[in-house]
Amino acid sequence: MWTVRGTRTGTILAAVATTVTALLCGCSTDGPQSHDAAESQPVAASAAGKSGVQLWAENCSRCHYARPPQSFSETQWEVIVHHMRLRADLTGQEARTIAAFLKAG
Amino acid sequence: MNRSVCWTVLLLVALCASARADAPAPTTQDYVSREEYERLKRDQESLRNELNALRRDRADTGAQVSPASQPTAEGPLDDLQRQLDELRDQVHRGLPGTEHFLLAGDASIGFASQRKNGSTFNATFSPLFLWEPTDRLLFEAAFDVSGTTDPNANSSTDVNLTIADVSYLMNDYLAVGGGVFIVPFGQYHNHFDPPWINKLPDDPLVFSDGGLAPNSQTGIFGRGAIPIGPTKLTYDAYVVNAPNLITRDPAAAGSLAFPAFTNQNGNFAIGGRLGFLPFPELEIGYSIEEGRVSPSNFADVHALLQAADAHYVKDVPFLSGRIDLRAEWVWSNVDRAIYDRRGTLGFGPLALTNYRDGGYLQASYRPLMVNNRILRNLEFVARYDRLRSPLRAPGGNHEQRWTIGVDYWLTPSAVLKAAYEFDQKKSGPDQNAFLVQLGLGL
Repeated sequence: MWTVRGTRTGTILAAVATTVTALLCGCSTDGPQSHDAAESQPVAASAAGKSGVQLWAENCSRCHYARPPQSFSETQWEVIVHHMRLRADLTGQEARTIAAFLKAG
Repeated sequence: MNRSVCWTVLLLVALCASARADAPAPTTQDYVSREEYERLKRDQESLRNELNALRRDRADTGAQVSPASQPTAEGPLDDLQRQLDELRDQVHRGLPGTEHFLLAGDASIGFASQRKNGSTFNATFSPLFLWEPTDRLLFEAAFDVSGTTDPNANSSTDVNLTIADVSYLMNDYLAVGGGVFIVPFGQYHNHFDPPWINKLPDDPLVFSDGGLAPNSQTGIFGRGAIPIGPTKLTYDAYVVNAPNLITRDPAAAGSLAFPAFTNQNGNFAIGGRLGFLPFPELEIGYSIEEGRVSPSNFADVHALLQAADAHYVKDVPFLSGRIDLRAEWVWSNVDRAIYDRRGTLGFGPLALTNYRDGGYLQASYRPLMVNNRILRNLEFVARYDRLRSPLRAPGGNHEQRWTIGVDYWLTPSAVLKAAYEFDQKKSGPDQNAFLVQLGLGL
């Protein structure tokens, strides 16, 4: 049974709940597009006007040396980018743009 | 066509006529009588009919033979082709890269020579399983496999589950999930931990076993990122089984044990991280986790963990290379409690507020823009890290290390590392160490 004890916990929990609720309600209109939909977008389509190669270099190379697009198949890149979207806190648009670049390579 | 028929008929007539000519001559007359003419005419007509019948038969036979014979000859071929196609599809489906399932992970092989501890080889293997059944859904599972040998020479294999979660993409800015996951407390465990990403052979003290920061915990989470103009805000929030307060171990009482796969005390912790990227090269973050951690038969004890982190990566043409600066600091406060109240465990009664802190600063440089290939693959690393805990606490110490290292990058995900560590402890002998490691990303 979950019991929240102490004002510290309650305050943090309230802040977290408020944030998550706001995101759930406010941002739920932009659902993730399918791989097909993502593929239909040009590789140069961008998040904040950035190309796929630029986002790939900025986001992947921040933590590790990025593997070239030829390292994996298109399907594998889809799975990897999905995984890295969570791990590296990418937006959906950033993930789609990076995936399109990697798959085009 | 008609012309050839005529010629054929004429030829036959000629042949017949010659046959007739070769035949014994009529004994009575040398000319053809009306009766003979009529007979020849009938014979010609009869031959013409036979020839036409023969042609029709041939035509009919040709038309009938093909469809009749094909089912017997090509039927098995069609069946064989179908089976071949099915087999090809099955083989194709089994080929790497054609399914939304991926086996990744990392591995390392190392050598450590540490003062007061001797020298040893070591190895780890950490497979990571990823399965994406739909565009929104992702299953992840990972575990660390390693071997240890205790002071009594007993060897054992350690298998530690680090990830077993499922996540769902709600929209472009939010993902939710649950299970056993690497909590985003600071950046190290979430980003830099794998041996092909970590630029030194070992972990900073604060993120190593017995450190202050949680690694994997069990619960639910929400995470995502929100672009704000040219900047970006990242956020993570989670509720997990709270870490367990160690109360009876004379060497670790007052410390927290991670992870808690099952909740035995009804204690939960909540936490999260806010990150901000004012520009792509820099990320700064603040993390917090709070919860009740005491066992059920113990006083009410809460723990508050906080962390601040910063990470800067930049290609600098002036230096012909890339610089990477990382800094993280963790504060861990466990409320005051009395351990071994009756003195039966041999270290109490001990009243202790376990306030600990530690972190690391790391700088690395790789001359990525020089022409020499060998030089381009080298990376030079320096790190300072420390961990302070109350000296009167069980296992308490003040330890700090200076580490210098050099890496050689074989590929973007394979690196050979060598480092020397200068160690200083307030309590106990300093343990300088020479470390070598091959880190591989799979």
